[in-house]
Amino acid sequence: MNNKDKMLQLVLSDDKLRSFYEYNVEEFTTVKIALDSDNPIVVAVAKIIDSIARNSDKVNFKETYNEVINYLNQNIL
Amino acid sequence: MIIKEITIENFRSYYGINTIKFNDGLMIFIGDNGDGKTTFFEALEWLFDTSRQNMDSRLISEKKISELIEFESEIISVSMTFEHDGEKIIEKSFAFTKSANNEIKTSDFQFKGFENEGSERLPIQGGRLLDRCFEAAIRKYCLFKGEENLNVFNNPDALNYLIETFSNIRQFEPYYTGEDNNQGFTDFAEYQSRKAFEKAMKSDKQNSQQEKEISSKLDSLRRKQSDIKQRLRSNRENATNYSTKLNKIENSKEASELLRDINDRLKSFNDKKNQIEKHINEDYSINLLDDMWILCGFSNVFEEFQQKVSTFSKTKRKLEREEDKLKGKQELAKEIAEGIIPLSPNVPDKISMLEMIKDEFCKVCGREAEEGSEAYKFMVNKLDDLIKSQQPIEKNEEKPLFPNNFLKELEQKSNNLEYNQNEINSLINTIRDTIEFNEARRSDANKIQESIEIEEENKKKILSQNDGLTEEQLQNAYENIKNWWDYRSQAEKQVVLLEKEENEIEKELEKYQEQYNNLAKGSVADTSRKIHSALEKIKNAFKNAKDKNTLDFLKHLEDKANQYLVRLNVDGFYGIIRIIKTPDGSARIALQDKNDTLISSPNQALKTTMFMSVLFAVSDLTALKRENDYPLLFDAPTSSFSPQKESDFFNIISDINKQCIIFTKSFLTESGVLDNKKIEALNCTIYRIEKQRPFNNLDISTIQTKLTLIKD
Repeated sequence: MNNKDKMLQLVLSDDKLRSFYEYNVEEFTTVKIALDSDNPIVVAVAKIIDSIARNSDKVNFKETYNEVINYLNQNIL
Repeated sequence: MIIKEITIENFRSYYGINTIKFNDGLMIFIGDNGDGKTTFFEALEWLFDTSRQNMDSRLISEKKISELIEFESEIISVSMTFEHDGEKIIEKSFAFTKSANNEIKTSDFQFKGFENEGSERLPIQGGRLLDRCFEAAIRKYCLFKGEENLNVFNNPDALNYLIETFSNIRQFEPYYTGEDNNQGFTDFAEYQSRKAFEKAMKSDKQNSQQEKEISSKLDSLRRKQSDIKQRLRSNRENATNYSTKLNKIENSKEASELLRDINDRLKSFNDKKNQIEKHINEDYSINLLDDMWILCGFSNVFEEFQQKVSTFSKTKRKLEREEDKLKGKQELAKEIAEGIIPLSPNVPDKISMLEMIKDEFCKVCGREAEEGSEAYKFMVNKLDDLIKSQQPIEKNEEKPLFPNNFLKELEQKSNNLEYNQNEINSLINTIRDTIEFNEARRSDANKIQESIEIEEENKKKILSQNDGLTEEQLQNAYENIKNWWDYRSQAEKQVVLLEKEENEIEKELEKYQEQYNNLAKGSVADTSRKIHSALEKIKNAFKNAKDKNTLDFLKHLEDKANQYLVRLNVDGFYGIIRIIKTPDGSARIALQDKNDTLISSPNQALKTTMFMSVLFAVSDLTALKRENDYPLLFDAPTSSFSPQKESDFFNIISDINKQCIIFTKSFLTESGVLDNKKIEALNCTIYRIEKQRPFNNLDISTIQTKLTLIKD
């Protein structure tokens, strides 16, 4: 398990997040699997971890933010 | 990193070249007090110090110095061959030369390193190579002198360093910081989505009044929250600072007492010296002329001078009398030559003269005096004389025979110097007494100065051993302890209060945020609400993950440490190690029993095994994270152990898969010989460190450490 996957597990294990958005953390052992999930929150978390791990410059914050917002806009309703 | 070989050359008692081969398990160096155990340890400390070029001549072997002849040079060096992704070597050295006055000059500091790349051996700066293979921060967890220094958490930054280095906490930094400056992505995303949500809410005219009220309340609460966070940070920093100071002072209690004694002695020495120096008067050049000490060296010249002054004086008086006589004669001769004494030029007066000239008649002798006649000319001349006589007379000063006072000055000097030979002899005694007195006082002052220098040197040593504390801080240790204790306690109390306040504000914020969110439900801002809510929950999930990561790390460290504690304490009570995170972010190691009862004062041996267990656990975690182990070196770590516990302890350590180098005086009988029975029972490499015999008890230049392999 690489660092990104460990982080995903730790974040998705959060009780509030898990109970509110109703997902089973055991199903998402890797970022890659999480990115293909039907649950928009699991995908959003995976997108954040993946994108910031690749580039943690502040310039990338805005791009990642737009990508996550657009994704949630289309899927959260 | 595994140490393969160490060579010490001319380092203090390690005279000449001393090479020791190491294996990767336990190695014990047995030696009595003063045999060179600590010196070996200090040689390694010197080698591992990459922060400065220390060429202190006190590091050099006194025996080697005593053998040097004038202008001859030698080298002091410590080198280490080690395994770390291939074989590597570091070597620190400097040259030393004996100068004409037997002084030792040091020069040519070198810190070389070599690493193998294929079949090639590449040179590299030694400090850089060491820092790369054996980070300075990790070295803190590697070298331990004495039992009292085993608690790594005496340093308040230690836990944060361990967490930051060995847990995954740094990976969370780009994602979450919890600060207002949006340095973490989820901080940034939550803030941006909140702003977007608030903008959408403001554009919805239906709920504008309520939106305004709740929004204003939320703004005010967020400002409060930010202020509390700021104060929390500052109080945590204060608590950490005072903890650091208290720990340093706690460790420096002995140094503080020593420093006080030294300063008292220094004050007394300086007072004495000043008192003595007050009595010294070495203004001999002033005495030479003011007190005429100069006469002692020039008595013949002085006599000649007095005679000459006397002769000149007589001659001068004689010449003056003759001059006076000559003047008297000249005046008398003039009077005689003129015969008649002339009238004063005022007779007749000016008016009468003018009248007579005008009338062309002399009314003194009653005769005509026509213009142009002799009588008329006589009257005109007379009037001219009268007018001239009334003009201010230009003094025709007569030049004195002796216009300068030189002779008078010489006479005065001669009179002032009325010394005879007896008095000059007495002057010689005075000079001798004065010089002897001054020299005796000077010698006393110099002796005191030597004592002052020794004390100053001791003071420097104490201060250098207590890096980070100023002299003032050390000196005022006792006064400071109380104040710092109070300040730390105040800061910690503030942290608890502020954390409580922060929780309350968070709850209030949640409540108002919920009201705000409810307002948005079903409105045009509902999508923005959902997005903000999702990002806020994601941010909190990252925060909790970060905290959990720290707790998991501490739990892992605790578990590992407890595994070692069980192994190191055979057949005895040992309890459970707890690593407790304090409000200021530092940590302390405590021992509890299974009912969570704190064991407030465990015995020293239990304490030592507790601290060593944590060190082994730290070492394991490092090995796991860095994929490379590092050695642990202990100087006299088991002083408080009973003989049985000591034997058990070493046997257990020898089974631990870790390079561990221990310097100890255990396994020596009371008479200082090796306890072969105990040594037989040990399963590790053992070296004997001892002084080469014979040696002179009073002469350090006869001391040489000898290393003998007694068990392989």
